[in-house]
Amino acid sequence: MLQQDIKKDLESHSLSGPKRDGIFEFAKCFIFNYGLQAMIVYRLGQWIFNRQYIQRFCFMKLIFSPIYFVLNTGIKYMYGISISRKATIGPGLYIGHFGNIRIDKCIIGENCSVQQSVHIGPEKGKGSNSPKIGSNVWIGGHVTVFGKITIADGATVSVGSNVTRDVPGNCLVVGNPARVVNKGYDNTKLLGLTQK
Amino acid sequence: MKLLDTLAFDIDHYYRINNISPFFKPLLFLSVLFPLNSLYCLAVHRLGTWINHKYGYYQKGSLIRGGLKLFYWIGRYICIIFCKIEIEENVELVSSLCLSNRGGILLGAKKIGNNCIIHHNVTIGYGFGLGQKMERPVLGNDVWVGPSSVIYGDIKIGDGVTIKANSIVNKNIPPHCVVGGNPVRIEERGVDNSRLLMSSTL
Repeated sequence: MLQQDIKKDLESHSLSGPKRDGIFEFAKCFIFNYGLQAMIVYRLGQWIFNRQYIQRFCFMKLIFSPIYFVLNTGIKYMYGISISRKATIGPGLYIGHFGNIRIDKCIIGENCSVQQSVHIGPEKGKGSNSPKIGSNVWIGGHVTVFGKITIADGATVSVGSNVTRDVPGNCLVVGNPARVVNKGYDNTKLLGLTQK
Repeated sequence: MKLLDTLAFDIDHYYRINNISPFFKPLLFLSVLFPLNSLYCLAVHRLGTWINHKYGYYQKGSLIRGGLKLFYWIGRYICIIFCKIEIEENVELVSSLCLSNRGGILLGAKKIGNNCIIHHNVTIGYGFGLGQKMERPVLGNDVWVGPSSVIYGDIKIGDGVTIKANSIVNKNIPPHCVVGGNPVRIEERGVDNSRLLMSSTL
């Protein structure tokens, strides 16, 4: 499970496409993509904490959790990418660039794309209010998604928009507050640009 | 030498704008060597462009160029970790530019004129939407860019433009305007922003 998810993340980050693989390609991707490093640390955290059988073997948790915390704080201070382990992220999330990226408790689907200065998280002081994001969603830079919002599959959130309402599927939202500009917007080209 | 000339220009501009006392002015040359502020990032970028100028495309296999390039890439990595600033290799910066020390800056512009100030959390880069041209923006002289604003697409920004904080710019802007908002609007025309360009503080 851990290995498969990391493989999907690598596929979305690799510039040469999903066909090639190997240790050299992995190393090349790992050095130049800070998002991939953050994702691998996040998957490690999920593997440690979100497994039932590991509860029985407490010593495994004792060994791995300090390693995870050290790596996580390292990523946070080196690149400014902090992904909470309460977030559930599907395989193949692309994180572009670095700096001020924060993903708190939320649900994100498969093959999404997130850029720099993006903040996704729950609103404080209320009950179950974490955002839900479908699969194949492209989120541009400088976007904030707060509170109980659902973004449907295939939606595109443009640069710098502040999402305050639900977003229907396959459409483009722009502005502060975000409004639907184009219905039936095809974002496969955008996802392809970042996930070549 | 051209590299040292441009670096001296940058240091002089940084000293003038950040209100540093004259006692520390000679120490600013040291800060080029250590990743303490945005001057280091500018120095690394100047080194990169100098390598491309001196050892051009036809000397791609040479050992000196390779070694200098490795040095440049390590410098760029240090920029990302300590200063959180990334400047693309093919950006053309004309003489003096002041970057904020607070980081989160991504510069991918085609050309930036002289005497500009760019604050923290600013992104300048390609616009890739459907029906948009894949091009980078061109900034004129004396442009003041406020914090956490984004400039993207195939656009030209004129001389003396003031871009307010948190604005998303994707249109051509005539010179000497004040723009702001998301989507961007021209709020005032014919404004002189020379007082804003005096210091880096907000």
